[in-house]
Amino acid sequence: MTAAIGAQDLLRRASAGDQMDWIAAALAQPIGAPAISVWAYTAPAVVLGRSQRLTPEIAQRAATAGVPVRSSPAGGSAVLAGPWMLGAAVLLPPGHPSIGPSIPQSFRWFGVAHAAWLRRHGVDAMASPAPAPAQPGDEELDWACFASVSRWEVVAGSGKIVGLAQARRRNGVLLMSAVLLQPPPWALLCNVMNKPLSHAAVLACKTSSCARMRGQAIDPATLVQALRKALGEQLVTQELRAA
Amino acid sequence: MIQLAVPEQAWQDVEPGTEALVDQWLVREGDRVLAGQVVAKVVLVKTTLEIAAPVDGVVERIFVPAEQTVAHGKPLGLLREG
Repeated sequence: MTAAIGAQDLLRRASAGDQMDWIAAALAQPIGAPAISVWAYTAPAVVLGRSQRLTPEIAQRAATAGVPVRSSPAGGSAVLAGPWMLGAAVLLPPGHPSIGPSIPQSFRWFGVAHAAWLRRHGVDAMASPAPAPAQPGDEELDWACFASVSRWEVVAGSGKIVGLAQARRRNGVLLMSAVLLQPPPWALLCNVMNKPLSHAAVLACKTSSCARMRGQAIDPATLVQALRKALGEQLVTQELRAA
Repeated sequence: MIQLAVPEQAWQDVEPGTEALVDQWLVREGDRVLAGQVVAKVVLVKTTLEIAAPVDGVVERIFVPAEQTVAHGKPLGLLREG
């Protein structure tokens, strides 16, 4: 099975819109082999979680700000993609060993792989084995992906640095991540989403980034390699368990 | 009658009290569906899931409309087999 890994892996420098188009095309047909893609975003874009609605108001505000808005096929909530962020998408065929029997188990290896990759670049990161306890007022910020830490999402210092989301389809499973290289312009996200500017300050406090953690410069290609290695290790583990 | 529900496996390891959000119904009450046909999409713990009809039949009732949440063990709708 490991021979198939890497056959379709890629690194793209493109927009979040290009990424969503690529994912939609990939999920429209049965996924035959694992595929890893890492996206270094070239321009800002708001990406909504699948259950978030693109209202006429958000569309208008985004147009005024000159920021495209796209919807992700995965769960989660809004992120502001851009040059301050790396995105990863892993496509797995139905029944692949890296698709855990439970939703959190599928996130586990993915989050742990991101944390290990960040540590290799000097960022003291860890995948959170439990969701962060809710704080008063958190529900007002549930529109933003980086406002809360779910199980196996990655934290560095006191803030979230990697957000995760997943889509389970008949054709296969999609795992997605968003990695903060630098602090995003949170005010821009709040503006487009029609949220108070005070939310931008809270998001800045609740998040971390590679730059803030004084990590080394990161070559996006190393994330492809890290995820490929983690997928291979998953297969070996499963094969050992089955033996 | 057969229940349309979020698969039990999807709730495994999920924090007690967590609810799933119905994102979209792809069918309406009275629609005939085939076994395996995706009838709804839900979101649970940052994950989108497809809800498939377990058998051929007719969608008798939709209990939880889009943008509403459903608790573990509660049905989304009912399917009349046949």
